[in-house]
Amino acid sequence: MRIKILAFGIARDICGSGVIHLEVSENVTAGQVKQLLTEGYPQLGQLKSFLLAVNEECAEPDTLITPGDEIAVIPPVSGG
Amino acid sequence: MPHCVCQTPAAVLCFVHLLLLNNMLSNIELLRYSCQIALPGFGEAAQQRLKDARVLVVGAGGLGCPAAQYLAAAGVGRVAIADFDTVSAGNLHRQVLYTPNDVGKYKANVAAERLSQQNPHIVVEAVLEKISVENALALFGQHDLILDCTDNFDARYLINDAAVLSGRTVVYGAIYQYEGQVAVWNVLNADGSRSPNYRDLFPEVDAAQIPNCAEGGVIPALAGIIGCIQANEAIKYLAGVGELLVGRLLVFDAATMQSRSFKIGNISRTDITTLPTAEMVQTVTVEEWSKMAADFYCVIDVRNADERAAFDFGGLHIPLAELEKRWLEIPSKKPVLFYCASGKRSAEAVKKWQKYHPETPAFSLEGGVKTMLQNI
Repeated sequence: MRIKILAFGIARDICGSGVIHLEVSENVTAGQVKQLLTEGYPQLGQLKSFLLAVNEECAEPDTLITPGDEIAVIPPVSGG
Repeated sequence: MPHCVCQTPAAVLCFVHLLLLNNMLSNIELLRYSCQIALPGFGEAAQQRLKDARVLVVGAGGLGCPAAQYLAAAGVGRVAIADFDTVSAGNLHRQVLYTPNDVGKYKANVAAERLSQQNPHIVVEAVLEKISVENALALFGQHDLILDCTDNFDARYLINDAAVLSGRTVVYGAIYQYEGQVAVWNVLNADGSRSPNYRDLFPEVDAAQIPNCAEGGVIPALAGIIGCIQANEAIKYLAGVGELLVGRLLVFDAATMQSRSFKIGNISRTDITTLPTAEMVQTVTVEEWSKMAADFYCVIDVRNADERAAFDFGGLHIPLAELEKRWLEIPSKKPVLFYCASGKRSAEAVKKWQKYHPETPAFSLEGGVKTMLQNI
């Protein structure tokens, strides 16, 4: 299935867009999506931490992704 | 008609003295705060709670200026503003308490003076210190609430961990380009547990990968928006009104005016037992550098391509985020001097260098290009 991911902050620069799409298997978990993202965009992994949220909630690694879920990548931000 | 005892000058003085001792709200204050006292659920009791509160605002920059401004205006009894930096020209577009005449002055001093004038009924004090492992716990112990208005990750993690260790709540704010984040960390839950803190969200970070305002840019009103949201959360927390951003992270996009609130959880899962270890970074001042032989250091400019193209002070150009991939380009026989716009990225470069090349000394140019330009 095709999932849509919203990228915030520096993740937007790293992924090249504020919205990216991934082709994933039917029973993919949030943890697997995170893995796929760091493989596709190694700089995300270099951040050391980023939040993967599903439907505006922090996702556990075993949270199942279903079609229509809103997925967001929120990286740390330091400016002030 | 008998003379009323309570109208004698001595009695009036006695009453005022009692007011001050009890920290009670005077009539002038009640008038000043009348529009917030009138709020349903607020009242004089909430105003008194503001007056009795001691708040520490760490950072008097883009976020600290609006945050401290509203806390002071609204009558928080003691507002301490901690910042060791001075005003520079590049701050003025978003650090709205300062004027061109203030360039070179300590931010905390200017802010404290301005805000004391805006509200003479409270105490606003400047703390001209960098928050460090040496002073954080003591400082936090003297205040009821902390606002994280800083601009770097080292400070944010230190503030977070010190707050957890001293049982204090932090109102966190951060900005980047068009986006801001706000949350309230480490609130005491009814069952005695604590709500999530910064490390529940981001356990650690590689600061070299994430630009700050000077590098990534920032739209100025965003600083006002996020700083004001922080002040709003602080006022609600102290007054006991509204719902707080506890256990959730607000992400605000000023470009699209979209705002989302991400739920993190109810209880912290972290186990913070010590403060972070401060990594020592040796610095060299502009003056010290000018006295060294021209080829003493291997000089590396870690700014981005646009900054380099505008002007430079020599040296090899290796942007910070590429440093680890390009180590081999740096000859490691001579001591290395890293420079950037303000000294932050060059400090991160030194930390990275020390991990991979502990045998070769590395230094960060203190104050960066900004200081070099001021000295010309």
